[in-house]
Amino acid sequence: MSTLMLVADLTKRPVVTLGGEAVAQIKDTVFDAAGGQITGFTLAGRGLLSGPLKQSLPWSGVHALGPDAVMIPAVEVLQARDAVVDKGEAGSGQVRGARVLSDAGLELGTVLDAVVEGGTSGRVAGFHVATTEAMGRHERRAFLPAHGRLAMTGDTLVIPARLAERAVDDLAAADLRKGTER
Amino acid sequence: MMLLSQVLGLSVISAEDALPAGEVAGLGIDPLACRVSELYLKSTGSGDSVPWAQVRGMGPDAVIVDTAAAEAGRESPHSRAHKRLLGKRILTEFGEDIGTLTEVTFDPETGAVGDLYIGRDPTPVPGSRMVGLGSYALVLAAG
Amino acid sequence: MIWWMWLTAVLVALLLLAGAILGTQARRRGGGAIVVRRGRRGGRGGMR
Repeated sequence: MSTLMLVADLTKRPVVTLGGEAVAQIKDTVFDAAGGQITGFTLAGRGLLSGPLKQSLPWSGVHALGPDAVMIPAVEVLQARDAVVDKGEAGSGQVRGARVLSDAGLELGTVLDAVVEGGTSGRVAGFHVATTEAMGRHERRAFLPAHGRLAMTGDTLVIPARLAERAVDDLAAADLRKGTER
Repeated sequence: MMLLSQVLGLSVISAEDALPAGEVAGLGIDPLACRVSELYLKSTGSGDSVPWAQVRGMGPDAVIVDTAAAEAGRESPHSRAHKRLLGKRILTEFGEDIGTLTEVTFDPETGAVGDLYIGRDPTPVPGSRMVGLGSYALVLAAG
Repeated sequence: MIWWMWLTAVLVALLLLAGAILGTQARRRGGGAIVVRRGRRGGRGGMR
């Protein structure tokens, strides 16, 4: 099971125990630049009146990240919010709006969203990017593949120029799945 | 094998004095044991649920229970999750919504759950794939 | 003002308040992708 999904689509996805109870919904998806991997999720309540929760879900507690629900073994895997992301990181690490630079020093566009691999993988597979003229593409939005270690902060994403050449229009395109291996 | 939809609404009669104890409102299922664990009655003032062990017989026309059981009113902690079994959302353990529960077959003698029917799919899924049943969903192991 | 005008004014105010609360909470439930760098944790965060 490895399906690619946009992080924006993960927001509001229910967190369900294997016992069939929905205990929360996803708020933020937190990933580690060094590992290119989801490290956890911040959570919100599921009610109309509920806001963010004081608990978070570390990736180690995820049974599977599915298309309709995030499955966890039991509610005990939830931890304090700081276990996944602290306030400073949450403030400076939002990837939406980060500029994308190629390692040749060309500004390629701005990050719209991250693309992650579901199931039990949690790998960051690429980014959805609003492209500039420099990309020389017809479409104004593209998916850029990523693999492994990411050179990234909440402000800037640096990608190898050869990866920029492999931008695709469609999330289903095979290139993103394979990462950088050819 | 009996169908869950067949049992709903059957009258429940006490074995000792032949007095009606209510109507079947639903079945409680223990997902891991893959068995019917209790019988929920439409509220008649006599009680809310009857443990499977107290069900003497279940046929096409009525369900016979021990009197004591029919009088022992109790609300099981899981009853809310189980009462509306038909129509319940079904998730795989991989977080994929595969439809809603439309029918359950079970052995009226032993209470063992046979098959689960999902949506309009004519091929059932064995009940042994159940791993959890809660108020949000019935969770199935990978098939 | 006639008595029902006060009633209407109060009702409208309550509806607006309820709408504002629901809207705020819905926005607070929203989220996105956050990048962090492990190993930096514990060593004063906030550097960009």
